[in-house]
Amino acid sequence: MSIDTLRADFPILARQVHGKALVYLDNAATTHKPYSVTDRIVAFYENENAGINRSLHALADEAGTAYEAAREAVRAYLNAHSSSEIVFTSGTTESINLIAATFGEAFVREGDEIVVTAMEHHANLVPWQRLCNKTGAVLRVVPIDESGVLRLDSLEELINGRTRLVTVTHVSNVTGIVNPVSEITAMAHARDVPVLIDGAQAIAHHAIDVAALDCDFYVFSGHKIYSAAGIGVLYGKHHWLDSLPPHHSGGGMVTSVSLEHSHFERAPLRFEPGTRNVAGAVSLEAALEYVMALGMEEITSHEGALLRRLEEGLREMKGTTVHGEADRRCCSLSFNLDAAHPADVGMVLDKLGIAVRTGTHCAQPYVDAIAGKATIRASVALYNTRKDIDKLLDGIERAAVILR
Amino acid sequence: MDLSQEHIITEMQAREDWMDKYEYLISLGEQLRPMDPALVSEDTAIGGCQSHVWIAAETINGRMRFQGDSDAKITRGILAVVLSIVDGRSPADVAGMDFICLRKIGLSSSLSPSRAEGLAAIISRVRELGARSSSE
Repeated sequence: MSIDTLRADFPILARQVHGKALVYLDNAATTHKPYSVTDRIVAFYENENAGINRSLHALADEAGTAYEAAREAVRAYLNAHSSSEIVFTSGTTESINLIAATFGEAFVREGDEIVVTAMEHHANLVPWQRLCNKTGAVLRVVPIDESGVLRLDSLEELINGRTRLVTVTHVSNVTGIVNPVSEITAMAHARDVPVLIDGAQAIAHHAIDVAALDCDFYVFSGHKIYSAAGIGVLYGKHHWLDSLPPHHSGGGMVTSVSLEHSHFERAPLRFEPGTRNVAGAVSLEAALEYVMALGMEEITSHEGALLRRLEEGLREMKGTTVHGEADRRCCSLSFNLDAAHPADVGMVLDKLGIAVRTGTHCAQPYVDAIAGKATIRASVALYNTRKDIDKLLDGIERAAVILR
Repeated sequence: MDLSQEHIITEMQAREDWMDKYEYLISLGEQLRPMDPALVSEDTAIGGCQSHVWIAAETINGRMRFQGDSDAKITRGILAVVLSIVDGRSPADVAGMDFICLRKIGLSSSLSPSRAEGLAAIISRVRELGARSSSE
């Protein structure tokens, strides 16, 4: 399929901002939606809308069937063993908080240790800090080297008999550096420690096979892979999910309730109280179908070429710094114009129609370590083009002149 | 350089391209009276901006005199425009200032609190300083 045909699937890409054609390079924040996703949401509300898992009427049955079909689609996409290993949440943040709360309640005690990394988004750092503060457990941090890459030799030393969990991002939301999560999982498993992988920045850019990774938990948000916001996934190996207590409680997650006691459903329903976001789930299914139709290998290679072009262009340009060194990047690249404040650069690019992110990207410790200040981040998706990258490079050159 | 409101509006409106407007704003920022280093502190810092912004004011003979600075050039220029509007006015005037003229120079679309330039946070602090001075 040609890139122009594909771009026509995403109506927002035809927009103008400040009188200029939109160049959207903030895909690590959120991605745009193809017609097939928005059409599916509209079709759901026009034809199937109902509260699921309670009523016996036809609409409830159809909506419930659609919801479970979406769960099965996610299972197939991740190559999970069973759809009971797929919990629908509101997104990555809720998925991680759910595990921090329930795994913490079941398995983490004073003096135990949780291993995180210096590369994490706040969503995979702050919940573990809070858990440690609450329980008296200790947070151990895998450091990075001067290239911004995780030091696996340190991970080996950090895992010990008190380690309860290793949690790591698959891909950095700042530098796009891809972590060797298979190797990390194998290292942790060799010491019988389970592993959680934050897949927020990998899911739309990389084929994910949880069976091959052998990780215990994998989490991501739908809106990063072209679906509606407000739907996300927690994959957990069956024996782990079944050993965890409920997080939020209410209707739909119980088998029987008296005024004194409740018996809880098994996973995944145990973790899905309240009225479910069925429209979100079916939009995620439509998004996964869209991605599969294009082929993840094609997407990975197309986006990789764009990032390489951007990195080359930036490295050729005088007075710029690209942050992090790695053979493989995914989605994101962070850089600075040495003489300019990133907020100024962001404002100039905005008026040229170019959307990037500036700041510390909800990963302050990592950004402080690799850049020492806020950065500019460009992040690509399947619909970006070589022209988008060239416009960004031109825009940066213009910003350098104006902000000299 | 003429920092009167009318002049700034004329100059901004004369420039169609935003790159030219930004260059003009940056030049205004360069003209901003340097802030007394002793006034650069947590107390004068404004949150909600991606860049650092500081604003201080004192009231002499019923007129407010402002000082401000930012580590970002465009933000410093925007700050210069805002301070040129309120500098020398009475505390009550400053507290009630509507800043409608910012719309005339195309900056009002940036009033959302989350915008990088933090214009909304700057305006809110300036009004607060006016209100504080008028209640003293």
